[in-house]
Amino acid sequence: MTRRVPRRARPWVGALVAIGIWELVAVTNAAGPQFLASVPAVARVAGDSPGELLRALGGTLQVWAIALAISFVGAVVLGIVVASLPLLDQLGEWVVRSSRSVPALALIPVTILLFGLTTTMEAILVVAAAFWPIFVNTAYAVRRYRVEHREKARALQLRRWSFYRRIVVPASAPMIASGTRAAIGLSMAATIAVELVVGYGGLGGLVLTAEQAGNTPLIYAGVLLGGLAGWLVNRLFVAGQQRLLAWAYRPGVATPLRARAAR
Amino acid sequence: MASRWGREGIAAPGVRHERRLVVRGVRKGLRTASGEVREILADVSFEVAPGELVAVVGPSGAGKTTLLRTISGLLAPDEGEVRYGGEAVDDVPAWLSIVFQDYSKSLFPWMRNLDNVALALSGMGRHEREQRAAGALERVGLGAFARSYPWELSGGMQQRVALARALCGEVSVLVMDEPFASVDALTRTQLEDEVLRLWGEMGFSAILVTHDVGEAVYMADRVIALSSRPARIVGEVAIDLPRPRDHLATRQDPRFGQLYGEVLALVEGVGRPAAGGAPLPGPPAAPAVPPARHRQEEGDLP
Repeated sequence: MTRRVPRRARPWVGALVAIGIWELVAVTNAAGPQFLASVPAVARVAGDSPGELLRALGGTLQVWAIALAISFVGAVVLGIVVASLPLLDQLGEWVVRSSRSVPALALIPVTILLFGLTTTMEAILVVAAAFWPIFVNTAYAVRRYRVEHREKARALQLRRWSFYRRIVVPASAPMIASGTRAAIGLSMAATIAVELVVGYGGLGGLVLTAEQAGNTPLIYAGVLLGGLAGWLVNRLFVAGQQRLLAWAYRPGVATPLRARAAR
Repeated sequence: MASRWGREGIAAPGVRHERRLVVRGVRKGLRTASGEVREILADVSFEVAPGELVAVVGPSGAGKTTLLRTISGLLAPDEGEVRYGGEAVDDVPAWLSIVFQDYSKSLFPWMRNLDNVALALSGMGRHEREQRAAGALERVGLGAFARSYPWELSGGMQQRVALARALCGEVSVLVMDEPFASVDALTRTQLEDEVLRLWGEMGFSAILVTHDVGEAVYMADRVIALSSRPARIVGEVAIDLPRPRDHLATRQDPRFGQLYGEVLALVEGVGRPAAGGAPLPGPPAAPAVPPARHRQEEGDLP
């Protein structure tokens, strides 16, 4: 086995085996016909209504992308500002630590109370889910690099603006990217969760409607599509990261990791 | 300083080149991690004439780097002053450049070499900045690497990029903190000659901080020896070796050995060489390279 199956083909083999097990369970009715759709049934649903699935995916991705963009800009700007003003940084220390430990989904009831089942409520939750990992990583990196490079900047007579634009922000970019990568997964999950709660729109809405209609194969099709989309987005992001921040992935340098703690 | 190269220079030979750098009565204490203030520099005074190359040697931990940071305006002295001509030196003036020991930390990996050099230039358009940066890279023999990243180059080449950056503005005083300590021995001799060549061409004053007595004697017009901490000047030795210097000829010159011994004696606190006294145990005067005649021509290659 180890010799006959080439390295690159092995994940495919693993996936096929997983699908085989799934099909076996479905065919033998081990989980009950209502609960697990067979592989051909899921494929048929996907083939019958690709428009519906893709539209649902599009809806999810749209909300997610807009919220992530808002979060990214806000978290990076605030992260830089907070990390650069020690007084603000110290004042905010506990606020940040406790806020970032709250799972965004735990805020669902509060946001519904405040905004009702509206788009605003959805957006706020997804933004909240994506904000913290980016903010914490940005602040951590800026705190570190503005001190580490300060003397060199003085030796080069850089003005504050150039110091941040040319030195501090580029130096922090790999860590900001790592935070963003974590935020991508969290906010994608938050988007679908919020759709499930609100009950319409996106993949969450589709899955919920399918469930109420007893259309089990469509549920699985929706879930799988979500997983696939998440994986693809992640791959794209990592590829972009390695291209744009090639210097951080140069040989002999440890890959920048996500900050484990705020400080 | 008899035979210097002509002054063509990127740095326009200006008024500043005619000034003396005066370090007078400088004291500096630094706070340690445990909170107490430790005296690093105890009353240091010396002068650097226009166009002079002065080496500062001392035992490790003596406070050489602190002295250099104070001279550069990165640190304010607790007492005393640093003046250049009539002007007090504070917060790294534009006419002063610093070359740090660790090139891998002084160059920024996200910038191409050209941008790393251009970072030191301000107050001009982008085009002019890049032109001058390219010229500076050309000058250290790295014109072809302007578009590369520093981490694509060897250590010696990276230190040359750092040198190009230090010299691309209108520099009157170049301050070097053990600039050759992080490269291998062969690269080191090349870099030493590179700095001597640029210094000869451009006419700036230079302060070289090093713990290598041989390097100090080889390069400098004058060597100042520091005591161990708190640092004070224990003596200085004028280096009357002819220029241009050459790793083979200069280091084989018996006078080199004598001067080496004098400086070493000061640094090690063996005492000042007694007037006309017995020659001190000298260092091996011979260079690390075999004295093959054909190598002689390579002496001043960049």
